[in-house]
Amino acid sequence: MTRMVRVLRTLLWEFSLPLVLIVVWWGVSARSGSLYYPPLSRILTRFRELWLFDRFGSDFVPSLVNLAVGYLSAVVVGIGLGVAMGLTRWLREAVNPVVQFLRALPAVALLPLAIQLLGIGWSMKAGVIFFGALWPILLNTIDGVRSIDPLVTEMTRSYRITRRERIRHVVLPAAGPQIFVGLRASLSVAVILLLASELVGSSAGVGHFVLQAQRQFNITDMWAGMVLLGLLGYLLNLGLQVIERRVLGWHIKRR
Amino acid sequence: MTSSTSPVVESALLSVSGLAKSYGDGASRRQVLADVEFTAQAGDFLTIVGPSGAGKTTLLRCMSGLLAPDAGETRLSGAPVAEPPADMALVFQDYSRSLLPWMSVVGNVTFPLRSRGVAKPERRTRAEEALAAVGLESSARLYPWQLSGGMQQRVAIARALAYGPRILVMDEPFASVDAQTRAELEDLVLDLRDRLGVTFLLVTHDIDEAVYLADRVVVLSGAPTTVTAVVPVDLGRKRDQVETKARPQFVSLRSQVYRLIRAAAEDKEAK
Repeated sequence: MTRMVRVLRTLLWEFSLPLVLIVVWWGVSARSGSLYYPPLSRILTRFRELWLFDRFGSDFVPSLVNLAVGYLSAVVVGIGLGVAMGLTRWLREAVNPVVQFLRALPAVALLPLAIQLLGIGWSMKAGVIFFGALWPILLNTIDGVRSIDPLVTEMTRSYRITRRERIRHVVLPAAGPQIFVGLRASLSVAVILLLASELVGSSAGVGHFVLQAQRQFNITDMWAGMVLLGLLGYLLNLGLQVIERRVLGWHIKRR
Repeated sequence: MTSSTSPVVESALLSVSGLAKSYGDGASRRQVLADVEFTAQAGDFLTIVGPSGAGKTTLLRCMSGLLAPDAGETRLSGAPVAEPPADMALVFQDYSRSLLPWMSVVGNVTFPLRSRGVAKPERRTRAEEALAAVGLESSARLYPWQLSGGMQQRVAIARALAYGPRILVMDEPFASVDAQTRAELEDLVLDLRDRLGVTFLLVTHDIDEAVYLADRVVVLSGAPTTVTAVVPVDLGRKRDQVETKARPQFVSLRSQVYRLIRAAAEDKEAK
């Protein structure tokens, strides 16, 4: 019962300001005759017509797939390489200069090259997303692994914990909070790069759709696309938070 | 104190001989252990005391295979210790850091057994037995950070017991709990020694504790450390926090160890 009340209260705080803003937007824009600022009611109508589910499969799903492929491969490579580099001094020292150089390159700057090499298909977009999302995950993982308490390492040594057990049950959980910092940072980078890659070279995708709508003066459609992008970013973040709560429950409750 | 290599050493469960260790290089080189020798028989309760800065922790790390000594060796059941031996379990002073906060109490206790290839049903039985031995059977599902300091150290002891070692090595295990809890834990380890027959080696800076727990007290000198004396404690097996500590014999042993440590410290200052 008290738990229910607490959940309701959290939801109320979470949604009260957005609701107020939506109501204000709705009211202010209701009688708008401006081509550039259509009434919110019209935007939402278009949103429903477009995304539920006329262009859902043709534009939204490809974007989502590119995002998933790019981001998830960055997660796997970032955590895997990060753990290896965090645990192995020579590897860290050997790879670090390259990492520092590459991560200083804005991923957007790689778009022309990526189009040159990979064309404008999904592999280019997923590749650019991968490249941009990799660094925050990699660097945070290395940092998290390196900051493991030396006493914990002594404990695992004295109890002859195997390497596999140590990585799975000690290194990853210990670095977990820091890894999630990287995952969150990378997620926003991934969404930005998804759009950037669809704006410069694409024949499908939400970013492409928004740009097309703007060029064809379908301003309401453009707004509807932006609403979808906002929702996408919000929901992805929420999803990551839910995962974090499950994986790092011990860490969150302990605070 | 030099002990000749006699048959006693041969049959000892743990024998430390000629252990030496220095840190640093050149002018900043500092010798911590000079020539440490002692032995522990199976079933012994040995305590190690020394003035602060005597390199107790360094000695313990060299003995347990965590740190390579410059010279000398440690033998456990006759085999030289080069890496942490499977027959030895360590209990650290800082329980809050040595327990893993993302694992429940029972998870922490069974964790080392997974690497040993102990099957799940046996892991569970061993954990239950070990937790019952330290009086924590009802806290198995809790997390370490939900327990008091004394209970956390009990979890660490249970983890060491479940590991099934022949010798349990403890590094100032009760230094960061309150006096009441400390007395309880001291009696707990004495009780465990009686019931389970495990050999204990406990490092402490507390002379009362050293005498109260031990069959023999190993007194260290200040750095560079050697063994000043090994004091036998003839107080019988049964000890009691109030009664034993009031006995004239306890008081005189306590004074004897105290004098040895003070002499060692003054000796060091004179140098």
